[in-house]
Amino acid sequence: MAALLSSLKTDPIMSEHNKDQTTHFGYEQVKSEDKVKRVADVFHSVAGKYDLMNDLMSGGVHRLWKRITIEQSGVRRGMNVLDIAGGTGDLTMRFSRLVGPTGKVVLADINDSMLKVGRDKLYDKGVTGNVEFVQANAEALPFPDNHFDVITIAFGLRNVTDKDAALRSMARVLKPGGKVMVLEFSKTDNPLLTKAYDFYSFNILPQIGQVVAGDADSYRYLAESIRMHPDQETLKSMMEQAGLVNCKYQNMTGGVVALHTGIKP
Amino acid sequence: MLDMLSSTLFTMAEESVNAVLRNDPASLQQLSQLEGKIIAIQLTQPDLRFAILPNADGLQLHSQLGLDADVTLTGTASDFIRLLSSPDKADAMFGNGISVTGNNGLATQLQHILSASHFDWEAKLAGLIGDLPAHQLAGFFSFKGNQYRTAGNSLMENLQEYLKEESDLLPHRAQVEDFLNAVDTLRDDADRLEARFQALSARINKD
Repeated sequence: MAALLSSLKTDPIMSEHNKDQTTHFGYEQVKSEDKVKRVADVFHSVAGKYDLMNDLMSGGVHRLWKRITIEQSGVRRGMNVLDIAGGTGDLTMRFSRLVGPTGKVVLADINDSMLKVGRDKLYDKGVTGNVEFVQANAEALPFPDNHFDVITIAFGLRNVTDKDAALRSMARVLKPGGKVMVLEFSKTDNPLLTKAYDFYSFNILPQIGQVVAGDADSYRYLAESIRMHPDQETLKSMMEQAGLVNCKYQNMTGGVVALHTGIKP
Repeated sequence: MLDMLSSTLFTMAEESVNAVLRNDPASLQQLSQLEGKIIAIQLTQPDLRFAILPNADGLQLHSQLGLDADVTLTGTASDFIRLLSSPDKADAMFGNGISVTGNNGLATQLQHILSASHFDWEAKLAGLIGDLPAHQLAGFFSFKGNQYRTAGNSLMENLQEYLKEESDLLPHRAQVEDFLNAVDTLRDDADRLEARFQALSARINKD
């Protein structure tokens, strides 16, 4: 689905490292240090057509997943919000209006192409004043401890090389009582849906990517990276290990996407 | 599942309204002056609450209940439809229908924007979904609005009739008017009597 793309944005690939310091890049095994560059290449390639592709690939459903995330965030006036892997700014734009002039939203992305597209789009929409744009690696967030009320990462975590480090970093910069929200592709629980979804991901999605963005490989990576991402229960336990409590998840569209939330004690 | 449904409805509503607003740069410019404000809409029939965040790009809708609204407009769906379709927005907003709590100035600003825009929602919607569906939709809302008003009026009339004729708990209008006229006459007589007492008293004191 559309949001696949976004996942790439954040940065380096999958978090499961092995002793030889290799990790997943889709179904490929690559050196950990190479993953950052290869994911970056994917997002440099898709940045310009990112929003269009998201709509085409998901039939617009990514807007609903993001709206649910925003509605459940509890973000209100005066809050500090961090939107990691914020890409083209869909969440940031809405958060910006919710926090108002007394709050602040930081749009962080490791990929400068995505960040530029997001910054231009938000400026065009008149979103200025309470938004900052920061190029940052999710594994080592350049913010003080206990700083944000809400942190979101939408379709970004699966592109992070060391997901555990990223979750720990998020927990560090989150205020006590603050909320981390991870919106990410996940595992479907219906065999028929899984079959249809696999067919779509590996046969149709790369074709759409080729026709619209002229880049089938990037979209194939997106599909593969989704399959390599931890399932709902695994991600939930990873969040707990990062020090978050009250961790839970909500499946959407039959588990194609899951929204995980956790609170900093 | 309910979240997806609600999310779908809010997304469709927001995108439809903003598509209409994009064709009206003057209204968008005025709405941008309300940026940062939160307007809560509380529908009583049906029971539904949501928030509107005006901005330079149109309106952002939220179903989130915890937002700290600057102003809350409360009324039935029919009242809000009347607000959109009535030529007299001030009467529709501050008249009998919608109650305003919070920042009244903000409600006035919103009412001015609605008045100045002269939105023909039926025509604007027609551009999006075609003439016939737009007309049917507008007709449906208008019909429903009128139907609810008629039903409401009819209920009130029946209730009045019962209280007057059946239970004899309330007097007829003519009886009330006779009674009020008699009170007025009595008050005038009393005033005149008092004046005569004062005149007599003044004469006695003078003598």
